[in-house]
Amino acid sequence: MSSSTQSLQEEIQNEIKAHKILVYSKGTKTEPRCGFTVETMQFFDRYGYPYELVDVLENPEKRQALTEMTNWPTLPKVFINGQFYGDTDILDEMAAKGELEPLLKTTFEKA
Amino acid sequence: MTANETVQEKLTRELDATHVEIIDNSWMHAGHVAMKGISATEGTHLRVIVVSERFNEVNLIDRHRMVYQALASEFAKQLHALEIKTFTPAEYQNASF
Repeated sequence: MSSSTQSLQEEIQNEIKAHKILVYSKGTKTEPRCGFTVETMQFFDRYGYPYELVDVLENPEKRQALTEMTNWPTLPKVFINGQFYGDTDILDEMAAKGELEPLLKTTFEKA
Repeated sequence: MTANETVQEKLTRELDATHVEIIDNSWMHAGHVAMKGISATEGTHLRVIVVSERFNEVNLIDRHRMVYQALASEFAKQLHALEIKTFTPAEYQNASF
């Protein structure tokens, strides 16, 4: 593993730790640059918990590191409480099964 | 074979899918920023429904990874975004749309 890959992975680990809901996205909250990033923001807006976006659209090395870490090729990528949860396809199904609300609740209880 | 026929064929063959549906939403995204330099007008943004016995006892994230893996070479070409719904045959029978 090259040192730059390693430092990117560290950077990602630190970001995931720092935010209970973290979305690796295309564009920012004020300037989303992908329909699926908008969809993910709308999804979390419904729940009212704080979430952070990290824009990696123009950072191919970090996107590659993320893809390798998660074994998941597309953006956005959602992390909740340090765990990878894929995208809104997964979250929608979890929400439909009533699994998401309890997860978010315990995540934010452990303040 | 068109790009979408290839997707259909790969999902059927590599995941032993008994049912595959593809909805092509590429037109909705033509010309957006990530599509610069890509001339394909079909097969870039797809919704797929995949029904396979192989999803039995597999969690959602891994099911989606299986679909992505089956289409890895399509991602290297025209495919850019994939919305995925997966079912086992039993789940599909009970699914309400």
